[in-house]
Amino acid sequence: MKKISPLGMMYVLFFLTLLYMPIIIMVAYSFNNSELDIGWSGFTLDWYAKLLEQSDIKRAALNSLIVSGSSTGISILMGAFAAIGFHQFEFKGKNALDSFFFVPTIVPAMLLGVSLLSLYEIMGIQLGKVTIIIAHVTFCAPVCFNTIRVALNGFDKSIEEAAVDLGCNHLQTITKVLLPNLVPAMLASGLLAFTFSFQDVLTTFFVAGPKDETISMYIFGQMKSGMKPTLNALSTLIILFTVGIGSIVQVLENRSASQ
Amino acid sequence: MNVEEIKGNQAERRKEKKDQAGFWSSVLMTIGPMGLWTILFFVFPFIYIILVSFCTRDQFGNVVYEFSLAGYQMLTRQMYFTVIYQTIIRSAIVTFFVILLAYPYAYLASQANKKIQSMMMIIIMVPFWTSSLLRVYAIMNITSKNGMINSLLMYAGIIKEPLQILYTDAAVNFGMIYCALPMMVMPLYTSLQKLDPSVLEAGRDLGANSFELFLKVIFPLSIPGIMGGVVLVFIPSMFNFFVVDALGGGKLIIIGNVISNQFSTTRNWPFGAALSVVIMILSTVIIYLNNRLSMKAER
Amino acid sequence: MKKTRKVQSMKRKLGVLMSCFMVAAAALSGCQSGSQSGSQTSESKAPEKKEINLLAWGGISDEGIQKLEELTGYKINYTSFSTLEEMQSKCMSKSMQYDVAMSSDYIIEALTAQNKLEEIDTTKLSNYGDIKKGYLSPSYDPDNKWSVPYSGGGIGILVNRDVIKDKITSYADLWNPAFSDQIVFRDDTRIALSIGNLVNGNDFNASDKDQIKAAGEKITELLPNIHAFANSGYKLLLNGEANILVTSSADAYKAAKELGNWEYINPSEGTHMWMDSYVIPKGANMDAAYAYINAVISNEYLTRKGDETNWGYGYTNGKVEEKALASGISQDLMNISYPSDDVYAKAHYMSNIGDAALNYDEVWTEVKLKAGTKISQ
Repeated sequence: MKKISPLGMMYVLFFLTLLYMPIIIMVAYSFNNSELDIGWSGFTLDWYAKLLEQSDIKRAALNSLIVSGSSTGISILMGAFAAIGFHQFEFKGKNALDSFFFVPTIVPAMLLGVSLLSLYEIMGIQLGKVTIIIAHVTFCAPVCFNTIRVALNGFDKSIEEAAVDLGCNHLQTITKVLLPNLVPAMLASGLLAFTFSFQDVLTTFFVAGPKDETISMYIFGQMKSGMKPTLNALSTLIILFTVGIGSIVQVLENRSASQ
Repeated sequence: MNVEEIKGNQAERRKEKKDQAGFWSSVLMTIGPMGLWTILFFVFPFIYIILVSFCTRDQFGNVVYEFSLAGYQMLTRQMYFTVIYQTIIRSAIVTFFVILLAYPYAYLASQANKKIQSMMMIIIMVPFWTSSLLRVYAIMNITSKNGMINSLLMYAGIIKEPLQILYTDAAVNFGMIYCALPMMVMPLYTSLQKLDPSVLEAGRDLGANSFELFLKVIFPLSIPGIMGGVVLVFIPSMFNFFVVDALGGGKLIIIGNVISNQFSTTRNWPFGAALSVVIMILSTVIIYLNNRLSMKAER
Repeated sequence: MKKTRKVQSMKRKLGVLMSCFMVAAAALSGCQSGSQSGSQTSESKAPEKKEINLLAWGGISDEGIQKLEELTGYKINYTSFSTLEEMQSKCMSKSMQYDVAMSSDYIIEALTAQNKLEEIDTTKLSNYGDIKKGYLSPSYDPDNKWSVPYSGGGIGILVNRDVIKDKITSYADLWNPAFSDQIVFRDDTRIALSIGNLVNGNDFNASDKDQIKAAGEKITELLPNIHAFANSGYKLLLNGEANILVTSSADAYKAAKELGNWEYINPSEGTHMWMDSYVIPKGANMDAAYAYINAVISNEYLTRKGDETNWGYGYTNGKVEEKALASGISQDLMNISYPSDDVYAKAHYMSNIGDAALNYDEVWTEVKLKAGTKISQ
């Protein structure tokens, strides 16, 4: 496979530096022995210690994982199926439906939250994790749908036709031929959907039950009353966690590729 | 026609009907779930927003379900048009720069060694799993008068007085670009990935240099990806009021600020809903145009 | 062949990712203390087994919640909000029942007028007697039936005396051209424009359209002096971005604590008094609510951190004020959060102004637009 040219490498480095500069500052200040993030007052691990004692953060982290994980999973599946349907079939009003599917993502988050709350009130649904997941899927599925649609552009239909000729019914064509080839797009869109879901505060706030505070809600709540260094420590841990997972996945991938 | 032919026609028609039924059931199976979901959990809120925009409010700010054009009437003030106009311009500028910055990275990632491609994608998403508020605060930290940038510049002797970087137009734009970058990289990468290297080779064989190759081959083929990213960047940036507040020192507003105010301090839901309806109509038009453009590029 | 290997490796990646998530989730739930089961079914209307649903400003630390759970004997489910209107929305929503909530002045007014609160029998609160008389019977709750004051403060002016030498005694003094680009002003529609009302000689809670417009124009005149609008501006004073802070006493206290040479001014027009109080939403578990309120206003809870207590927050419990004095903080700092009685006498509370709020919003948007054009030049 092609290697990246030196100019390319420089750009990648520039891009990543730009992206990570605020993160590096955050990580640095998580070790700063001062409540205020002005100037350096010495190294400390206090904030991490305080963080690990707090059970509400652990609960928020668990809530975030459950909610965002489920939302992402459902969104990927629903979005992929819908994208495949759009790819395979032509029918009247397809364009309109396409645009319509995307509207939930562009609706202001607060509005979606407020209006879903009224829907839940009318339907008599009590707030809990399910109500949050429903809200998240509503604005994440279109993202998956869109990204996978883009990936299906220019997909070679002859493979599908070959599968049908070999006796596959519709569902089998999808699961055995299309989906496996869409895994990179599904992963990419899943990543994006997870981000949308994990970061969301405004919608989640309105549809969450009292025990269901997510990490984003927690940080938002703490922020308004003044920045606490424990939040920096929390973010650093989140980053370590995700980079860790990414690296493990990468190492396993490399190992399987070289076998 | 003899009996056999009639029977043949009937059989064909039956088969057609069966095919039709098969067609629609297939369509339902694929698009059905998402369609149903959207109708149930989105159309209702959507209708609710439109409903509220035609309502009015009582003295406590609760919605009064009586028909009224009060929300839309407020919209006609010139001031709100100015805000909407400024917001669109700002979002357009931000989107433009996001495309500029994201494109090379997406392209490089799509051409890179298969092993590190997913790593390159994960590595740009990771920052966005920390709260955007915290990152914006970090940006404020770096750009303040005693922040890193000014300290470095003063230390290097390039400037004598600290520059006012924070609380400027540019700072706000930078913040919005920063928050939007991965939303553009993802779709672009997915679309550029589909690029067949043999097409590029063919181009080179025909004597095209890198620049022409980009203009005539790569760029047009990536338009669906760009459009996918534009929708994820342009529209949400109109609602990103937090960045505008934090980095603009509260001195700049976009339509997102106004809408959010209507649902919080002012408790004027009808007006907030009316504004949202207008912006959503605008956004739907953009999405529609975007789809038409992608379809054209496909051909 | 290549393709299937790639597909296999991709599938493997998905599998690994999913198992990592599940491991993490399992680990985190393993670390869970208490009864949180992560169940999918939502919480019932009445809290099960001695639980209390709390709705309060964000920022109550976990350690604080634990102390409260200790003192009350209830498990506390804490939901935070960041604006009072969020509080109102959540409080009035039928999908959730909160047992006790934090609120302030004009929202309490609105909630009582809409009959959304339970009456509070203050004889059931053993610590109620500790609350200083100055905080009781505010204009929005003259009979003390609906709210229990928790903390209070004003909106004053904090000045870094190392840099600013001019005299300041009133809000009006802020318009001094010498203060160009020096002020960090509160980013709140009502507060900012109401200050404009005061400077124009009008009522703090003016609801006349022309008066509100005039307030907007007055604040627009101040724009050259305003470096930034912010609700928590103490850091900007500390890192030298600005040298005059128009903010709440709690915020000013945080800055004053670290500054060397400063002055805090309660403006001569009368400062705006804000009060955080606890209310009981209709339908709440009354026993739980009383237990909580009694605990949260208690000296034991408020001064649990000893000398590390945030004295700047202006707690209404008189014993806390005594402890603050005893801790050795300077009288100047004390005066920020515990001002003298004449400050209270002249103070203005924010009241509910109904539809006039729309005018405030419109005028404020205009002010912000003008501010925007100035920095784009």
